[in-house]
Amino acid sequence: MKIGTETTTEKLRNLPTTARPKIDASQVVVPDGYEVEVIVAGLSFPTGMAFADDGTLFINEGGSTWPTRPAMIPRILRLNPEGNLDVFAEESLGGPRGITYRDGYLYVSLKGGYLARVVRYELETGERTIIHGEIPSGGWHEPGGPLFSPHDGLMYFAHGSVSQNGVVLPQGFTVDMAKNPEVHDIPGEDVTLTGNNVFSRNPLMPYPYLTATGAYKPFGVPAKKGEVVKGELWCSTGVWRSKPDGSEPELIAWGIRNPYGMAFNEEGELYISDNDMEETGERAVAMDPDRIWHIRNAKKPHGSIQKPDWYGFPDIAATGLPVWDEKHLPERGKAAEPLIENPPEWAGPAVYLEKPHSCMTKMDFCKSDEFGHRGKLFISEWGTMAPFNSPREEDLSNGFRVMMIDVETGKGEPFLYNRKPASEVESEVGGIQRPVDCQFSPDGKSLYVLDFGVAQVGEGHMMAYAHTGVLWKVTKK
Amino acid sequence: MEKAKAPIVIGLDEKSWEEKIDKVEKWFGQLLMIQASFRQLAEQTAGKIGEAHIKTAVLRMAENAKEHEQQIGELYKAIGRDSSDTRRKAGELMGKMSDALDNLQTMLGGTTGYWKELHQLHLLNLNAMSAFGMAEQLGLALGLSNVVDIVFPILHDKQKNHMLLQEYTLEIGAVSVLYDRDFD
Repeated sequence: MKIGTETTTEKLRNLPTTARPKIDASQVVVPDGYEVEVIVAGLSFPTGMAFADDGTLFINEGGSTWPTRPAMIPRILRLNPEGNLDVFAEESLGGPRGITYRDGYLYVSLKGGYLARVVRYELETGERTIIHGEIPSGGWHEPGGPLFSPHDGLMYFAHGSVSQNGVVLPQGFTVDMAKNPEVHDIPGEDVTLTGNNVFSRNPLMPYPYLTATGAYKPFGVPAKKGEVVKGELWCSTGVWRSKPDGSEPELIAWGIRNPYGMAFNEEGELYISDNDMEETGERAVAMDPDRIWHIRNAKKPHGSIQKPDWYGFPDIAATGLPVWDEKHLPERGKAAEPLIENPPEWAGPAVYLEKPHSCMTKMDFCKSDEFGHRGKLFISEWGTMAPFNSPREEDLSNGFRVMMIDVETGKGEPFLYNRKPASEVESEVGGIQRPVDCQFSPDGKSLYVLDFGVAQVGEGHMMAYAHTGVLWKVTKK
Repeated sequence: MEKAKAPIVIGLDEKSWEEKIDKVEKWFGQLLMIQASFRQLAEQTAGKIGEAHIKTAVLRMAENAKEHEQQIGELYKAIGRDSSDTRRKAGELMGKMSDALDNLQTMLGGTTGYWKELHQLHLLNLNAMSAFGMAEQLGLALGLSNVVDIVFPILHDKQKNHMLLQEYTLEIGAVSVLYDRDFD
């Protein structure tokens, strides 16, 4: 079904959506020698995109996203090289997140319910097959991938934690806990618990009797000291790989809180973006940077991983310090205590650290000389959710840009951002809002930036507006 | 990837937009009727309550309900439509709504006094809260921050109403059912 109508840049400056009445590429700053244009506007909660080899671009509209309501129709849009836009497929509530193309098939990760899924669509027939359907989900964080390694041709994918900060707590009721009340994290290898439970109010009880909840337990279920929780292949915070048909799944890493962005460089090294712990609630952690992890196990032969690498969640911050270290003590909320006794060896440090709450999302390596900056990692920063998840003034404007990062040196610089400060963007300036994905076109000439649209955060609420998402294109002149 | 000939918009062209706004307008009409029935019952109930604390609370609720009803006119303005015709129709439909309330009261046999009205007010508040909540979702779904800005504080008030009415109906309900009397 064809959708969308052609418009003009002039009309984009006078839209009926009062949350985003103006879209103006001249308000977006990129380095000299590059230009920005609007390709599609009016997207509803776009979450990811992928190119087919012929230049057709597939865009996911996520349905129930961030926050979970309103849920618009979860679907996969198709923009062909001639500029025609249609609906390739519709999905179920919860909706598509990551997407990739390979050999005539689209592979899509889906959230919704207790289990996330990876499905495969045959492009020619539209036939849909569930490749993986046992990925623990139904909570706070998101699927990562899928994507294919240029090194071994395997499919890689991931999923974040269901708890916000290591223990399922009442704030989950603002996300998915009302729908999935039994949800809890699952470790990727056997762990022994300290028995440090987190006390919180139970919103389902009429009196404020404090309820104890342990790590890897549903809300209201305490852990015992010395209790061993068995690790599972289909764990929370995991990174897996399998053959393209889903066979021979293998867990290669775990302990990554929200692995939404995944990208291979030309050498076949895998990197994953991850979001920091939040400074709020009954297990609050301050000043934990956003980060990019190098997944070393991705270069090892398929089937050879005896023990997956552990990247720290829920006990080690991206600084390498325990989350209860003095540096991470919260100004707001209750300080964290250790959850795992004798934790596995930490697989850090991260190759890049970013300001907390920048909310790094999807990313792509530049693999062409046409655009320039070959070998650099371009990553979207969705932008802060402070004051929701941080009381700090300095966290109010982090993110809202595309960064260009050198994973070898650990240095980065803004590549695309707004002419006006982020706080002014909420008004009628017309620049970028919340970049969620950035991908290079197959010809290597352009960087496409997917902008989720307007999501406003206040002290007690978060509101996201449909029909405010935008697809931008950056081209070297 | 060839460059698109011109930017594409999804759902924001005039025809698509007006179709959606027509549907929002219809919802606002239902919202007006639901809120007006809540306001009317709040006014009636306040007049019957003898107990001073509950009476004061419900009187305040009725005053707020009037303001919330007026705010629905602002919602119409936010989508560029006129509410006057809907207000007239809502007035006509209020009589039918009273019949429905009478039927609901009949279902609550075995209870006495103003508790019945308080219980119904509790249910009507939930109905109105849900209707305003839907108005908020429609605002979010169409990128209309001006709609959301109007509705959000009303929902907050409705939530307070809900907690208060739940507390009072459960607090005094047993006396109404078991002893056939009200608190005076």
